[in-house]
Amino acid sequence: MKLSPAELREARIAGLIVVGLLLFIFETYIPRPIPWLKFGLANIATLIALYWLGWRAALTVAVFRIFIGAFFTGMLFSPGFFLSFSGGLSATLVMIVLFQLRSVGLLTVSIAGALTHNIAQLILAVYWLFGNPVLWYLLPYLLLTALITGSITGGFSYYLLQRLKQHFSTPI
Amino acid sequence: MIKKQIKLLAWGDLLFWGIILAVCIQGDFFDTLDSEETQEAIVEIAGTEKYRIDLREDKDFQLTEFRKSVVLRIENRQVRMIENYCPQKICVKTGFAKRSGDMIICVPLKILIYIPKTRKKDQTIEIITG
Repeated sequence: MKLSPAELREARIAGLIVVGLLLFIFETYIPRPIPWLKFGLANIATLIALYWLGWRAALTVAVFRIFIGAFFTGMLFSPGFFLSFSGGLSATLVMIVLFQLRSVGLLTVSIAGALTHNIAQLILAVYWLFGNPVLWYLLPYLLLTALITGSITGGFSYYLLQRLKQHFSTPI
Repeated sequence: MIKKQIKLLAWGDLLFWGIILAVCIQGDFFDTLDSEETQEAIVEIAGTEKYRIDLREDKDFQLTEFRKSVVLRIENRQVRMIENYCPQKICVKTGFAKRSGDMIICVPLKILIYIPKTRKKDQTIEIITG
């Protein structure tokens, strides 16, 4: 069966949403050095969508992954979901802007996404969820972890994109 | 289509890293928290302060605001969450809060437990009288 370019694109976006979901669920089972630290592995799917299929695909992958992931983990519309949604959406938007500028590398795009994710979550926690500025003391630790996790996801994404490039060099 | 050349790093990264470095230096981010002996922990639920717990007395402390058991343990001037019914139990896994500035957070139940920062010894307020 021959798929049209539009169908092929939709299939690839759907595939990346599934990859993002699997990474999201996988991450809940791996032990973490710090209980609240998340590696943000699901962001690999968003980054690949951004560099492979463009910004609309990246936004679609991010939003669907967050909603479906929250649904399957029973967190839909819980406080944790809103933190996740605000962090994921703002991170994706920042990554899209930096990607469009084309003057920064993939690693920086990934780290900027991780930084934005953590900062957005902290802002929401300080001003909406807990209403206590004492939470700002967490900022340096969140920024430091974002630098580490953003580097890890950026490195993985770069490797996977190089492999994808070998297999899917035809325009969509 | 995948761009012909995906750059892992580029010249524009220098500007980004410069901004990050400047923010870190300006913010004096890694200022060490003082480690004076702590005497109390504050428990807030949904943004409202509910308890100030004396850490000098070892005991288990039940938060009665919830429909299921949520228990804190005070031991050796430290506080930890030992029982909670939230899904991921990150608050339980966090362990003890012992220094000023330490926090235990439960997002699903909106619980924030923290040890307030105390004034460092060299930060005393001087009162000059006439």
